[in-house]
Amino acid sequence: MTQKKFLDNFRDEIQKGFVSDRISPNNIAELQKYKRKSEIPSMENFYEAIENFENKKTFELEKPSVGYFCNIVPEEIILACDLHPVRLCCEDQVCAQAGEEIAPGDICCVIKSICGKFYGRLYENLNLVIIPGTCDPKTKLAELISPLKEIYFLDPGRDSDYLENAAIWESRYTELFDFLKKRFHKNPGRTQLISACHKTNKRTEIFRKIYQLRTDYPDSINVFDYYIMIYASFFMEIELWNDFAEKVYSQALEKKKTQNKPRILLVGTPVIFPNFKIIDVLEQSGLAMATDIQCTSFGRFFNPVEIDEDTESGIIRALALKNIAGSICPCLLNLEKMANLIIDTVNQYNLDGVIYYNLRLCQVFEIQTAILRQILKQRNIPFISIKTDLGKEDTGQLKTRLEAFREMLESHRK
Amino acid sequence: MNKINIARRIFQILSLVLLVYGGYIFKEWKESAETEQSIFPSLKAPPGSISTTKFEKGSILWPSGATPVIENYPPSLVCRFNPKGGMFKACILHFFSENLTWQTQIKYLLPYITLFILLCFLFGRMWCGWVCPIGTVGDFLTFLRRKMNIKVRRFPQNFRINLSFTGYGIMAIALTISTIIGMPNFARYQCYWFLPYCQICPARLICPMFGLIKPNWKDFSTGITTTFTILAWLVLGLFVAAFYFGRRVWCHMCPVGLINSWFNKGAGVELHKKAIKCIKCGYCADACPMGLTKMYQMNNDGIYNQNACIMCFRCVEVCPRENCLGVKFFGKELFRRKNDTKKVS
Amino acid sequence: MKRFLFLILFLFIVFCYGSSQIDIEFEYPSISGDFYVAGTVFFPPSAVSTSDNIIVMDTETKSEIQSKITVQENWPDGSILSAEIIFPANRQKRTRYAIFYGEDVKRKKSFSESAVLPTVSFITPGAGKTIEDIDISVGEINVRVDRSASIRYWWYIIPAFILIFLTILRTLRTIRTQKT
Repeated sequence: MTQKKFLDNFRDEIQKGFVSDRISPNNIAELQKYKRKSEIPSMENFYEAIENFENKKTFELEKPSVGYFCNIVPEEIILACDLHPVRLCCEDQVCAQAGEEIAPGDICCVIKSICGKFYGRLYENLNLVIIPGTCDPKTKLAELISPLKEIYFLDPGRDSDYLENAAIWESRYTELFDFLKKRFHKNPGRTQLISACHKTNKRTEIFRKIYQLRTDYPDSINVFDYYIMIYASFFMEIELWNDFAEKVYSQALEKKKTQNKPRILLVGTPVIFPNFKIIDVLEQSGLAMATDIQCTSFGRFFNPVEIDEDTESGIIRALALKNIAGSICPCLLNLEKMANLIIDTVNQYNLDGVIYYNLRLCQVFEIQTAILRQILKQRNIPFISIKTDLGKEDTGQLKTRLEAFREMLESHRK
Repeated sequence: MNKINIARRIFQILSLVLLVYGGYIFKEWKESAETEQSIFPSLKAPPGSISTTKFEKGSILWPSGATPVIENYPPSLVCRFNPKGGMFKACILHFFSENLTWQTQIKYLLPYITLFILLCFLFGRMWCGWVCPIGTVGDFLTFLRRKMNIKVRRFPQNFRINLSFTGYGIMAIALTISTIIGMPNFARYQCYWFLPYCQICPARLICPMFGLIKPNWKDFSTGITTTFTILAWLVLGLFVAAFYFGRRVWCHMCPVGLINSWFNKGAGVELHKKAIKCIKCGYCADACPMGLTKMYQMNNDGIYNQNACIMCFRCVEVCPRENCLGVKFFGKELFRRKNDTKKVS
Repeated sequence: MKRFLFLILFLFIVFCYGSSQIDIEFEYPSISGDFYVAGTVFFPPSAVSTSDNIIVMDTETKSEIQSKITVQENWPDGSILSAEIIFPANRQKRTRYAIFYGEDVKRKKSFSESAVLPTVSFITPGAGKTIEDIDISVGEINVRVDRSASIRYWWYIIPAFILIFLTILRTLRTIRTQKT
């Protein structure tokens, strides 16, 4: 697939109409609130990084930076081309309101806030944006922001079956790799790819340690710190993140203490920094989030790249397997995988219940709720489905529901 | 990270050294006289029949005649044409082929066959993945290809199944020829058609080169030997291409491997899968050198030994899910896939 | 599994067929018509117990030839050491003959010398060599003959079949778990 230019002829008209004023979301106060709750000294580094990022409102980097959405886009290929990958997924209330102008109505609020950020000129320094065609809103997003930025559209298909699609994925990724080489005049080979994979594998290793620690002792790293670390990984240099996370892990090991709260599994749409409403409510209603199955954290970090064939095409294939075949995104055909994963995680870590968190208007997550509820009901696993949006109006209502759920879990335990 | 793979490589190299250079290393041990009380009776050509010792320098079945250290037939491709006779005598196909020609009574073969069945029953095709010297040579070719950054060719399922049928065909033809030339009236064809599979086997050409002996590349003395020479070249070309462009494609049609494969589903070494742990990431199917996909497709718990599996356990090694895949030996667990981090407690 | 049974059947048929064989060579006389071929053949110990276990075969037509066999000497264990064999031949029907012996051959055709015909003697190249040993300790004459060798190897059929049986059982189990 070659690079496509959408709406190229209408660039001026669109820019005149929409790109007028800068928006300035201010999340520093919010950040300080969570920073005060943190008990681990090394978390300072991550908070500082996010603070810098929020203050500047844009990227100022030495390397050319490439924005991307979704796990489907292989971070390792971007790293191998000596570029800086920036994950642009965003759940910001202010940006979402600004984005209403471009994408009005009942559209996915993530897409709205991304539109708001792009049209509010927050991403001026990005050299390229890679958008995958995993879900319908993302496909349209490629067209919506194409007048502003250079876009590369990556379509992996909707089937996550390895046998039929591995060759297609491999060719898609190879095209992306070739495009990046040509676009940025770089000439990486297999050694660069391997070293990029080693970096992400190192990250996986540290993440697995933290993940394991949190399942046993959810209070050792509190849930805000956990999601702050994950948010920081969106734009931080990967080696830097690894170092800081290693420090956090070693300090958290000393903090572990048993607690008596019901330990729950959070499944569903990703939790991204300014929108910490759900975990805030969880904390207030006396539930401990022990693990999660979400694309930003588990889906992104848990599987390592297993290089079997260390040729260039072999590594690219391994990346495709990690990012697409092992993906938990409900846009792909993998409901069975999801059900297996939830049941297995609950059994393995002996968790008390499952919270299915659905950011409103993400249809694919919503569609599979009933089936999952039925499957888990048969296996006596407590399940609650929560549907909300970026606004804070329903906080009280959510809290009541989760408190009821907690009481149910406690009685279930006895 | 790749502990099993490293262990397997070391084991492969050690067994290559033992099986190929065993003739040099243990030359003092050579069994000098066959005693009547030995468990394994000595199998010798009856009067009037041909044996490999009778071939002279220059014919296809030379060099041979050097006695191996142990006159036995393990279920792996150990070749008669190893320098100094090697550690063991020959492969099992050589054994059947030779004794069909000699019309040895079945009672003298029983000890050998029993040992072969026992070894196959215990380890299945682990002999192919961990011991076979020709497989090791092939893996070295694959290693070279990887270093030269050449893309692997992945062959479709049907092609691989057809390869195994080809192997069965070659085996059937070889054994039939061996039987026919053993009959009294056809004895005069023995000098050309003796050990028909050995004459085209790539191991016949590869194994002498380990001892820096020039193998018999060509014998154009008669029409039959010319045909065999050209066939041997073709098969060697196929062998090198199969290992250089694919991974272990040759092993689908190796007759010795095919005999081992009958024991694979009932072998002591079992590969287990817990289906609930599987996230269908395809790592196992992608890493399989034989290109098998059953363990990826299986949706229920159980044993997924297959006929073509060479038991390299690469699938167990690359699986990202803890406890999903595992290896058992007669129901006793040998190892399971573990996460890289230890459980904190 | 079918292939497996097929192989066992195949090997069984082939190896049971092979009994011991001695090739006969003689020169055809310059006379026409029938004549007798006679000669003495030596057998290994414990190989042939009675003269009925020796036959003369026409190797080209694969048919048995009528023969008269007279035992001359016996091994200490009672088996035949040497026997004189006479059978008729014809100059017009030139063919090759061989003597087969062993427990699994049974002589059907015997004859007596009714007519007086010229006799040619044959030689048996390569035969008469024995592989098996006999210990003879002289003093108090004590002869020990190893007769167990032939039986001993057949015992291996028991573990072999047990292993094959186990393999088949386990294979069926594996196939069953893969199907459901």
